[in-house]
Amino acid sequence: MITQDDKLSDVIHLDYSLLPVINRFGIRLGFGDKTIKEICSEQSINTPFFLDIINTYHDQNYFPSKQLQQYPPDLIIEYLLKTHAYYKDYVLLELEADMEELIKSCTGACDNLNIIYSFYETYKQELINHLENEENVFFPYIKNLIAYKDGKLDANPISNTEFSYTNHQTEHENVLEKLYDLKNIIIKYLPPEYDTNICNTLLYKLFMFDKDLNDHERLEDRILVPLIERIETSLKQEL
Amino acid sequence: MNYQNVILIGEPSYIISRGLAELIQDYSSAEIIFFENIFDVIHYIKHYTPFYIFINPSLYEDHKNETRIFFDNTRVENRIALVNNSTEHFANKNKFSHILEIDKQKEQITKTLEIIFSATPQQSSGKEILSDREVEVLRLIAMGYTNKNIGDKLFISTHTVISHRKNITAKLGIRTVSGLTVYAVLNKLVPRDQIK
Repeated sequence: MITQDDKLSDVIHLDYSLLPVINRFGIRLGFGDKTIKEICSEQSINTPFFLDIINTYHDQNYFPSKQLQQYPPDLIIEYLLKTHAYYKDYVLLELEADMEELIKSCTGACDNLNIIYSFYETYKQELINHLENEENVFFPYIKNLIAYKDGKLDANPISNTEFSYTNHQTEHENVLEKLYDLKNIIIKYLPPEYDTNICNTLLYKLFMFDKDLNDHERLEDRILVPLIERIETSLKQEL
Repeated sequence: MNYQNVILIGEPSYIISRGLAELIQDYSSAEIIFFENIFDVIHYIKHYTPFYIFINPSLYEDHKNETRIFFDNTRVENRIALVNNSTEHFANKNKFSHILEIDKQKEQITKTLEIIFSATPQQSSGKEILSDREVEVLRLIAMGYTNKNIGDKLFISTHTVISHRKNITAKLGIRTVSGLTVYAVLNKLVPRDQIK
């Protein structure tokens, strides 16, 4: 387990897939031998929250649901929004560029690669819709719930929300399963009429993205949703 | 569809659960997830259906309500109780497919694991070829037909269509309709212009 007294540089050596995660907290490289505690206090980052996020990300089996559920939902939402921005402004563009490169390197009839490309395009659009739905419906709903609970909002948001957990869950699964399918189709079924190195680069990125999305999903479904369900239950009793 | 290829271990002792996981890995490549209390287990199984559940009955014994929710919510057939000498007699014994005595020696434990995992063969082993019927169903899926339409066209029940779909997904390792469509086009099972 990663603790506050670990040097952040050691942590990156241990698991470099944490790089974009620490960036989401505003941490940039060049931190010398500073420990996590030192960096967090310098940059006014909530240290336990930071530790829980990187540990959850680093170890699938680390799941401090009790502690994480005590953080203010705003903190979690802020982190999730940064993750969304990273996907939309960087990862998806990168993947698209790699896809285009792959097609350019095609040596055969290229029909097959074009099919994969349009599969990716559809996937990308669905993912963007899903993320925007969270930003425009899910997160505002949570904020309203909390505002209402604290007496800062008059109308009870439960009675008029478009948000549905079942749909949300289904969308999540769909987004993850399509990504899985994309990887598997390339690995198992796509005839190799392309440049190998470009394809490898694309696959590495797909695997990294898959890990990131899974983690994102775990945070939402196992921390944010239970938290909201608890607030909802207490508010329903008031109704 | 939820992820099926997961093994859940509900066991309060860290040492026991990780030790058990170490042994399980010889029999299954499924992802193993760990829970130390019944509440987390219930939350998980409400959303997902693991392939196997190994659970220590002491986890639920003092929680009547949770016990009921647990047994009502698991559609998992492979339920294994983790017991030792002092917990030999536990409630709901008949709801388990196997009993694993965790204080026994390694050899005895692996023997039981062998039985548990051989009773239900792994999802995919070796090369998987679709049957003619499955190819037919796959073609219709790719062309955008619903389960009911496929059933009507092939004169089979919707239930049978669903079971074919499950087998296709297991064999190909592709889970979504659009993924299956791509597979069908790549393998020239349907012409591209017939895809919506």
